[in-house]
Amino acid sequence: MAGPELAISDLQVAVDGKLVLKGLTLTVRGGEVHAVMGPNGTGKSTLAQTIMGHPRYQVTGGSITLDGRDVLAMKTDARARAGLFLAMQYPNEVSGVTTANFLRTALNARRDAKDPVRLKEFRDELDHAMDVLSIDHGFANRYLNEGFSGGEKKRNEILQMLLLKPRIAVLDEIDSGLDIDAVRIVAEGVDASRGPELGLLLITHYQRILNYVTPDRVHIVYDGRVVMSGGPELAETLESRGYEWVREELVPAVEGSPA
Amino acid sequence: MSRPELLTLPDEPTLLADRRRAARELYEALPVPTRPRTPLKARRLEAIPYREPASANPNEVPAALRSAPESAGHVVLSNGHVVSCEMKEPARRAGVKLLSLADAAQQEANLIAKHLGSLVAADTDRYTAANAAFWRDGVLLVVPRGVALAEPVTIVHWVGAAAAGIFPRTLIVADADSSIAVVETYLGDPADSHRVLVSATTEVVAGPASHVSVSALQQLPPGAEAFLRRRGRAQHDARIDWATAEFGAALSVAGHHTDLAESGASTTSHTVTFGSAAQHFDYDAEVVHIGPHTTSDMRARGVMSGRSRSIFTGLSEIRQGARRTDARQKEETLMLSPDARADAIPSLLIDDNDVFAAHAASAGPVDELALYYLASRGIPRADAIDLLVRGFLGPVVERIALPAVQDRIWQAIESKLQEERGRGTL
Repeated sequence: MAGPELAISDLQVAVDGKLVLKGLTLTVRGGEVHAVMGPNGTGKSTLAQTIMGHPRYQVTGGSITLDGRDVLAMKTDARARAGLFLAMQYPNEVSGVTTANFLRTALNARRDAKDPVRLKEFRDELDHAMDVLSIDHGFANRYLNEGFSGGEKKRNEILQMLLLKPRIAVLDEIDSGLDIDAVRIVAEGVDASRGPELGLLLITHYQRILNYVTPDRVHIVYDGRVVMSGGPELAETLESRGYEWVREELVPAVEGSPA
Repeated sequence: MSRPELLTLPDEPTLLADRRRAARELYEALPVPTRPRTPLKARRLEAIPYREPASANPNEVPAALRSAPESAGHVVLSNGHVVSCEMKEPARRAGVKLLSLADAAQQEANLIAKHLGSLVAADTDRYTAANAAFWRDGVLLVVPRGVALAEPVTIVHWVGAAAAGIFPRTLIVADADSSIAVVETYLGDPADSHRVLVSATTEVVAGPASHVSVSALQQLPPGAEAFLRRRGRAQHDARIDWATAEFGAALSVAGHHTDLAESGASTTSHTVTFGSAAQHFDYDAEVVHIGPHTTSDMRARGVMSGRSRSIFTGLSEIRQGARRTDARQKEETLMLSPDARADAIPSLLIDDNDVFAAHAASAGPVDELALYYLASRGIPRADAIDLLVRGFLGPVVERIALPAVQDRIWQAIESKLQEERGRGTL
């Protein structure tokens, strides 16, 4: 069976009438880890939310396909069931809904109504995933993200990824706001999920998570476009030379070139 | 003479018959009540022939409702008449009395004379007066001093297909140091949309250090116009816990009122409302702190869909001398439709200065960002709203101490959600 393929082509996206993505092209396949890096405000989160179908982002041009299927024609929930996952930078707090109940509902949404996930099977899998992420089992019965610390929310996102087993996962700043131990735990969780049936798109501002999850490809996004792509060494260059280097050296070359 | 003869019970004691006649005079004199946000006149309640006494039709009551295995005692009323009244051995042995009000009028004449109508006054409004004038039956529950029943007493009020007016009364007298839970359910065939006026009263006399828990689930059929008045009086160190759920009827003007009459008395109340289509709920939750060191905690959560309308008026009154009291209330509404409307009106009336009192009210639509988050995990919109509704009502339902009542309320929420799905509003 062929692995998944997410193809983003010449994507243009507006937020509140302002163009943020200006023709972004990127393909992620199963087994690959792509890192998308860039300074704040260049469109990284816009890319993540557009892939998932956030109502605030209007696609004005280009396409996104998953295994050739038009993602942009699907509603958010259908995208998720087709195999897309977004670990949010700021996950919502959902009062009154326990993490366990939420996850079970999400799993059952992927199954035949007559064949819901068995409770024992679900609990075992949940307990196992919680152990991988060093999450206290008591979290399953807490209301989703309510009163969670920043680190707990991020771990909860990865927990959901481990249970829902997406084919393409986009992790939006999964490392931001975490101390180094938490980054390591989250990264180990991400690493544990790697395999030919999962393609990962890691959106990050910092290089540090890439010490734990080595990317196959690194893309630098600036002003709504990919301005440079390369191997893992590109992240190291970026780390040592900083984003000023992107601004000074890469952007004039791009902006100066004919569209 | 244009007015029909007022029906009394067979051999009704003179005192009761006199009160009934007085209530009848009040009823005739009182206008259709004016409620600021509930235009009662426009509902043409007087077009319902409710003065004609409904007779019992026990065969209409579904078999599943006729017994309640996990009850200390179970009473079934059909159209306001007791058709069965059973009490289990432990309660009987402990000296608990569970009687139809018609029987109690004879057998417990003094108790009835003393307490019936002592809390819900006949002159409250026209439909309370109608209840005091036209009642045929009801329930008397007496719990002796020091008796604690582990299981609740359950009362089913079934509204039948031919009834026009139903006027049951419940009187609970808990003696000192006793403990009792009562669960009243008001229901009928959900497919029966004929108009019927239901005016019911429940009175709770909570003796010193007693603990009375009253739950009331209103799941009346869609043609019902209901007036449900409940009032309790808590003596020294007594506690009254209310759990009320408003799900059925076309109109429900309901409420509960607690007098914390003496020091150390306390009350909690949890109200869950789920309105759909054109349902109209007008609920009053009131507590009056009279004694010092009394506490009250009132919480309500409602979900409103379709063109439904709810008014929740919470009142915490602290009288002079009720020092060191603690009064809290919180009302929240989740709006599932832009055409639904909810007013939460919390108020505090404070006449002592050594007190703690707090109130809060809020109403808002379903959080679209939360829906997006749930959708991003593959949960379809209808299921996500379902999850959010349960999540919204859960914290109040789960504070209700009786697991059996929690289950009943969850079932009622479940059927409302099914209804909403059927209408395509989710």
